[in-house]
Amino acid sequence: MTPVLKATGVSKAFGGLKAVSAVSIESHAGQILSIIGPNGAGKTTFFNCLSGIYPLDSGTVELGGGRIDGLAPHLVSRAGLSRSFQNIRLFPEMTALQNVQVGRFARSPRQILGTILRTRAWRDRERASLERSEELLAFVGLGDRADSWARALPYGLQRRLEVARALATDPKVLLLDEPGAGMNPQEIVDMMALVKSIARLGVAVVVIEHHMKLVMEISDRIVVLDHGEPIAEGSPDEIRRDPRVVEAYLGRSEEPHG
Amino acid sequence: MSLPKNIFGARAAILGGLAILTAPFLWTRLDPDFATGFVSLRLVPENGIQFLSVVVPAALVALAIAGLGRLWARYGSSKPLFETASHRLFESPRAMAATFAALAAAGFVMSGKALSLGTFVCIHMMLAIGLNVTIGFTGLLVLGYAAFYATGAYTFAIAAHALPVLPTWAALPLGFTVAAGVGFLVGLPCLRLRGDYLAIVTLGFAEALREILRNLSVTGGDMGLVVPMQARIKAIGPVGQGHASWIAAVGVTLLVALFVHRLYHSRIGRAWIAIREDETAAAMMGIPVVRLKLLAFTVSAGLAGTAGAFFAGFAGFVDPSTATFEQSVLILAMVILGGIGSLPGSILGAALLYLAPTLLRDWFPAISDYRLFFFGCILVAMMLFRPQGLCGSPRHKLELEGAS
Repeated sequence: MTPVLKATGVSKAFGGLKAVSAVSIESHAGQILSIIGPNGAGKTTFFNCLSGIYPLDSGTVELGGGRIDGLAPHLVSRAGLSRSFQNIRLFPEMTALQNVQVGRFARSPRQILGTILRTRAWRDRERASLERSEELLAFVGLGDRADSWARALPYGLQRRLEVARALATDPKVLLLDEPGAGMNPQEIVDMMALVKSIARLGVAVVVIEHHMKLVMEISDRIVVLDHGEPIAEGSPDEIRRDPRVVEAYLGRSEEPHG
Repeated sequence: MSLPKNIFGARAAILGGLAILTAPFLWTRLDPDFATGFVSLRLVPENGIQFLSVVVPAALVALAIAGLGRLWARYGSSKPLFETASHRLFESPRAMAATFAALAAAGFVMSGKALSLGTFVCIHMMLAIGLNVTIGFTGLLVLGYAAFYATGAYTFAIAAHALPVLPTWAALPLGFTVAAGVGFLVGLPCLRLRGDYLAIVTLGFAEALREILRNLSVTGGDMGLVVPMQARIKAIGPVGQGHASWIAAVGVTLLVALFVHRLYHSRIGRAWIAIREDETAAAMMGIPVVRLKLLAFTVSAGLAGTAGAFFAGFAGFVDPSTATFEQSVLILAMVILGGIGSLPGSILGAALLYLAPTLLRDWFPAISDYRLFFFGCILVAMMLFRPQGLCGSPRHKLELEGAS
């Protein structure tokens, strides 16, 4: 099966610090790929590289067969890659529904004249965008909070709203940066169920997550980064047994030899 | 208001201290006697009374704003009354037509002076609505907005001289197109950058444009240009020239407001707000940030041009004072007073800030010299008590209080 997203040898340095070096991943439709690693391992930087926020130093990113490295973020998004942010970046002074509708921007046609004259065609498309946005809100479980201000939503719901907004761009690949951060155990379980259901829609999901138990439960494959370098890749079971992963997380044992 | 009581106390102490310190200088005068070389201290009550006559109304306005702010904080919902009313108005063609008819008919009972004042208020409403598109919706600071106002005004005046057959209505499309084109060219280089480059560039552009207008012969230099009679707004039948101008002004203002309202409530408007709220996240949602900023600025400049061309057709002359920094600041103050990002706020702010100094001049001629001081007091009071403006969204307040 050909991967939807294929990143090859992605590297990014800030001055002398190699934040990401030669990371390659393949993400398949309907599967969940997790990227784990200690704090500062370069996971978020890697996401920023994939989504066009940082230009790459070297390496390529292909999406559905076409190159997306070097493209501006809005073109990456149009090509079919969407993401959420580690520190939630909603549009606070917009309602939940409007946040999702912003995600529909590139999927609704340009119609400046139609907008001003409010032609029938414009109204039809506006209604279609509205209906799709309401659907997505209901999908993430925010159907009854459509008119709440984004800033007024509880933290857990803000994370869900960010997922709905990302889905509104009709992505082939969805990057989720710590979707469970700051949530209570029940919210994390719900969020992971949501991530699974997104994968079932046929979206290739790439997740950065810290909660090991959940990563092991939902992932089809796992990539481990440490100091910007990939140190292991495999199924959850393989990763659990990998001594390098244990070392990266727990440190090397300092017992004297002999 | 969430300010603790002791801050109010400290404020009162500072104001009281200032009053005591300044009082001797305001109420007295030193009179040197050149023959003897002695200097005598003389009490001059007029100065003090004049000063008080400015400070007291200013303080009253400040208190009124503070009181309104408290009332709003206590009883205001997330959608203020005025915002909802304006939304209803612009969503209903029938209500628009009724408003237009009522205001146009009101012209029959308005004095010539009131009609002219009303027309100027409308012109400033167009300007405030236009500036709000960049500052309020898209979050881009523009400091030289009057430059596009002048562009529209001069464009129409020059075109009317060059083409004697030019009809009056042509002012609107002509002013819009040329000013929007100029805005596009000014915005093109600086909107690719993040931050407030646009503020500096437009400020410089306005100053440069004013000097150019003052020095070219085609623009009439310091004297400005007189717009030929045939291109001005004329009397039609029973409707006098002043009344015709008022009707046209109301109509154009409603159209401009409707235009902006419809853009705001569309994917374009949502994209503008998204850019204001979070540029990176907006780009990640597939929004071409640079192109939409440019669109906002172009539309904004075009609306200023429309207002300028209308002014030329109404007033019958244009001069370089249309491009002064004071004019830019006045429009900016209107947007801030009304509430950054709020369409009805811009309309309200323009009406208040244009009418206040004029009425002040008529009713309290003694204070009119202190107009700008009065202005300053009101703006300071706004910033202290209601930083989001009269109809502003709570968001800007949060930002200014560092809570978001």
